Amino acid sequence: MYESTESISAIKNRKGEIKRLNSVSQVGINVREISGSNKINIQSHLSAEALFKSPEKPSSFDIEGQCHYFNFSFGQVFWLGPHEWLLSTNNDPREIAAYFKDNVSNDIALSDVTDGYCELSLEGESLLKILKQGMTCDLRDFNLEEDTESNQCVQTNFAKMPVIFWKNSKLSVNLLVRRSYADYLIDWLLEIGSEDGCEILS
Amino acid sequence: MSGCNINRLEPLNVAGESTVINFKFNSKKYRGYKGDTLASALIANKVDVVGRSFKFSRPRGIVGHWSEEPNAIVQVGSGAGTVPNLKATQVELYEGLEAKSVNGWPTVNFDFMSLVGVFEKLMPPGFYYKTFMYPGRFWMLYEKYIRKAAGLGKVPVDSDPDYYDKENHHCDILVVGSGPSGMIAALEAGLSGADVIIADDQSEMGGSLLYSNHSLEGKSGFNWAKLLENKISSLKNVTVINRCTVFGYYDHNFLTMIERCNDHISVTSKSGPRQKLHRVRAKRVILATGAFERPLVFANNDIPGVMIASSVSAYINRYKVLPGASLVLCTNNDYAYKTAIDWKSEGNNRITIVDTRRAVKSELINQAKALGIKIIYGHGVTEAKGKKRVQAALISPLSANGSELIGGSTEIVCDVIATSGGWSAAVHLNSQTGVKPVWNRNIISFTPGKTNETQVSIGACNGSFNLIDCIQEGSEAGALMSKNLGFGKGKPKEKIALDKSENEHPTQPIFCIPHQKPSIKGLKQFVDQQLDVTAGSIELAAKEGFESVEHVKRYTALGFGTDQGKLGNVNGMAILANALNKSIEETGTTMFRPAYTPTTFGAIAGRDVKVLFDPIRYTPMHEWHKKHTKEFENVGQWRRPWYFPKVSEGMEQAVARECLAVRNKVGILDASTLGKIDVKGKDALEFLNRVYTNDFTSLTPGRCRYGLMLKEDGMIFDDGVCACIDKNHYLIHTTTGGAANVLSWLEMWKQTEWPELEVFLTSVTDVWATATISGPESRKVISKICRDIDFSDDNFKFMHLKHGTVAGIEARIFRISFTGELSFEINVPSRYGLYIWSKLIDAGDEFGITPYGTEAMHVLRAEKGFIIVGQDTDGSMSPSDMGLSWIVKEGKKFSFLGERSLHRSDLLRSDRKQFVGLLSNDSKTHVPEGSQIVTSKKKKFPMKMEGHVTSSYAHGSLGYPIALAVVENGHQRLGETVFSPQADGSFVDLKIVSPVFYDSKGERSNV
Repeated sequence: MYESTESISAIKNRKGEIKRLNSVSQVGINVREISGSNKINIQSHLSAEALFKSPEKPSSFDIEGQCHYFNFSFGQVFWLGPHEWLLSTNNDPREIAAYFKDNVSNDIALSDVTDGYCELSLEGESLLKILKQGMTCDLRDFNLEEDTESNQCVQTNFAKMPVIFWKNSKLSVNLLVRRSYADYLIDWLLEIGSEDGCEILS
Repeated sequence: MSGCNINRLEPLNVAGESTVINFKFNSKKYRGYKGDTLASALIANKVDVVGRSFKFSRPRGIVGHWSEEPNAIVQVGSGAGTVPNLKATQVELYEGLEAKSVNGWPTVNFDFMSLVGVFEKLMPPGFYYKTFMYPGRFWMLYEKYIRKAAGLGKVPVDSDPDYYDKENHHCDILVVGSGPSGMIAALEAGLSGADVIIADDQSEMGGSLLYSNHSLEGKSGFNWAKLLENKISSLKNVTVINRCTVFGYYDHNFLTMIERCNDHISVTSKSGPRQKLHRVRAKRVILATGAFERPLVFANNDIPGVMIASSVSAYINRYKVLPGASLVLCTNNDYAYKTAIDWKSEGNNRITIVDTRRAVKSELINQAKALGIKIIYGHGVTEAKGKKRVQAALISPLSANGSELIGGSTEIVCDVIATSGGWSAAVHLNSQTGVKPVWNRNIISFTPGKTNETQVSIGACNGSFNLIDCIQEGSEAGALMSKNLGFGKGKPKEKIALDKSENEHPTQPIFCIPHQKPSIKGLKQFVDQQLDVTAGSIELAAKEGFESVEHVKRYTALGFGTDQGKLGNVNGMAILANALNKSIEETGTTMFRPAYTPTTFGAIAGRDVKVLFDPIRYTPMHEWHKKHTKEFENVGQWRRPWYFPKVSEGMEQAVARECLAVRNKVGILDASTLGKIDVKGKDALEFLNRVYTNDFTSLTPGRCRYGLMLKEDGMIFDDGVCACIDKNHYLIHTTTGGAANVLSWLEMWKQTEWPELEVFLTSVTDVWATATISGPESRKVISKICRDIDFSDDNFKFMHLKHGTVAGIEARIFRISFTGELSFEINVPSRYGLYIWSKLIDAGDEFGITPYGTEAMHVLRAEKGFIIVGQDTDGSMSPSDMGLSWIVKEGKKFSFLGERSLHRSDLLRSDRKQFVGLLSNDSKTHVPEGSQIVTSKKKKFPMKMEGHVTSSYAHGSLGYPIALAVVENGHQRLGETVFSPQADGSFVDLKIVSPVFYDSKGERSNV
């Protein structure tokens, strides 16, 4: 018998797992599940400027550009493709829907996809090495090994699974993977990361 | 201990240290030094015969010193980790290395297969095709023995104990090759600030400078290269990857490289991946892949001891090994004189240079003369004498253009014949991009064809064989390519004080030294030593009518070996051109394709093996399933429970029990894998009307409709239930395996054909967990844990949906059925999937709820005659074929995808295969899926096949086997008996029936 609260995590049985080759004493990469925020898929023929009227954007940053994210009153907005964004928010999806209904025209589609994703944080010295093994996109713009800010985000394949990922801080990224792939991704990370040590943090 | 380094000039040093290495070759123990290749160590130990030739089993020795080597093919290691087909010239020596020749039985020195050589005149090119044609039925027998005789090495039968990695890179500039031109190009690009990768297949940078006796800026070539290497390595923006062969060059500057990470390390010290596949996307590519010295072709040029001139220099200068005691150097160019000078510098005076040219003058020639080296001009080596080692060279005077002998032969005693026929630019990677190499008669080499501005060839691979030119080209290319990308000003930063180029006497265009006998008369003038292709066989091919170089290549196997003809191709083209009485320009060359050198499947597969072969998707309820069954089925990438056996139950019993539970009580299925697509926007309904065959106009909120999608050709593409969630909001259900394709298909039409429609598509498959409860008791089960919905038939009708709260969780409940029974599909956010599943199991306990898997689901739907797209259809079935015309609404305002094709004459044929049911006449025999249908048992083979079985189940709720099939004109043949021939020669007698075996009026789902 399961309680309703038990099922919230996509990888609950994997927490605490660690894999490293005998010769390795350190852990090269830590994986942690990030939970709590809601994810809203937003599609519209309107521009980002029109949709997200009060973005808290860096002055040098063009929110109409591609492969980036920016802050919005209700959270972070990730560019997914032409006319498509993902809002990560701590607000109730109904509140978000109401906001857009009141402030934007009807030319918009919102889908609550919170349960469709598992959000993971990956960090550690082996981060770049692991990402380069599973990802074909150009990671140089992320400056992952530098302590610099990056507004880059990308929707791509990682270990043959569709993901959305962005830089969190130096040697740290967050990654959204479809919930059904989450367990397999943990398997992949443990196996590939075992060379330098990989741990799933609780 | 055999051999003991008798050819070793001095112990080999690596970083000032000399380390003895023990190794075995063909089971004999030898010693070498750290820094040796297996080839250099074998030469040091005076091992002459290292292999046998592919076709004639002639004894073969080491010819080259790197990837051009055609003969020294070895198998390294043993057991599961053994690796076949390595070139001894590329195998770095390590403690405990064990290698053996890939052919030669019982030993490489005495090989029974060499008896074949006695009949070599009977084995001209294409002799397989000529000899083994008759009688035709014997081919299988011939093939068995031909295969046994062919092949190089043995593939291990056990699983590979090593692992392999892949790594993806992006860079501004990729420099391929770290010889002098590549190094300086990388340095300049790095100094300009560009992000650079430089890869080379050797263990260290330097290329030809590692073994040549050049001096640069007052330093030896080797020391100059080390200095440059230090400068390059100090740049953070330059990544150096050694032991890394760039083997593939694809579109848009995508290149693949294989790094040999620990092939050079003793088995006991190994860690990490054995090899790594680097996949590089570069903005600019600088090819600095060098050139291969071409051998001259003469009779018996395959006897051990005949070597490439520059390779002799490499063994002397880099590996401190003198390959013999007495040298005859046959050349048509100046460069080879360096080899004689290198040989002489080791204090060995037994040297004769045989130069095909006359009256030649140059600095190198003067140097050789000054050293007292004997030079014979206007002569060529016509034949090597010896069996398992060269014993002498026969030389003869040549006409001025080298095409004829003009005198008798003289014998010179020697044990090494070094040859040089000039240099062939390594144009392979450039050619892989689809560019045809261009013949340059001035340098007697193919050079890279025209490419775009994102790629450049420099140095020797560009036909610049002079060191000074190589360095200048490298320097300029590095700076210019960087400037193109916005780095630097295009001017080289590194100042190099280069000497003047040495003057050279032109190379003579001669490829095959003539002999007293014509080549075609069976002379062993080998062009491609690995595959035993001779000058005579190329001439014979031409005589037999082969004119295209591509055809001759395939007919003779020229360049087909693991060395890809690096030494033989140009000679082969020249000999063919001569035989066809054409120029080399007119004859042309073959194109090159990946891989440049043999590449392991392990590296290509990387970690995508075993459990990581392909991503696996799990439903939110998977944890429960794992506790209750071990039987799972792969459906697309999803892992679904197949059936849930009880103790002592087999599959048949379990599936029958699960089916009966659904028919008589209630079953529960995890249906979370079904594809789900949110369709929103004010034009969503119009969009659905265009993509589905049926009419959706009347679909109002709270209602569901089964729909069929066709491709443009009118064939069934996918099916599923579409629900109207709200105004301008629909939910499409797709098949589990078809979800991604359906979404792509819909997006394509939306974006490219109907951009005017305001409609938005979002995949929500992962958002919802779906538990289907099915059976007469299902209403009672759901009613127990969902109090805010009235589940009576009056209030909640078939093909409707309701929103409610199930066990405290907001849910969407669809009253739809894939079993034919009263069913409810309960959808909750995925995070609650496991919880709801357990609640339903708990609630259903008193009603005997039974979990059922995909197999029972398939049986139950088949009993109802419901199709599964992809199983009962195969991309060639129309709605009419499948008895689904009732769902096609013609005359829609905008039509629908595939409608026009439904009127094609072929789709109106009465004899099309049509969807029917099949029952075995004895009500017992289960006909396997895929079985063919015929009309008579008595007709001769091949019989006309009139259809095939698409689905078949031995056990279900009915108590007898059923099958679904497509049969020609099947709808008109109900009641007819047909037959299904089986592999064992028997026939199954079958009656064609309606595909609906159960509840044909559909009463059970509508209660």
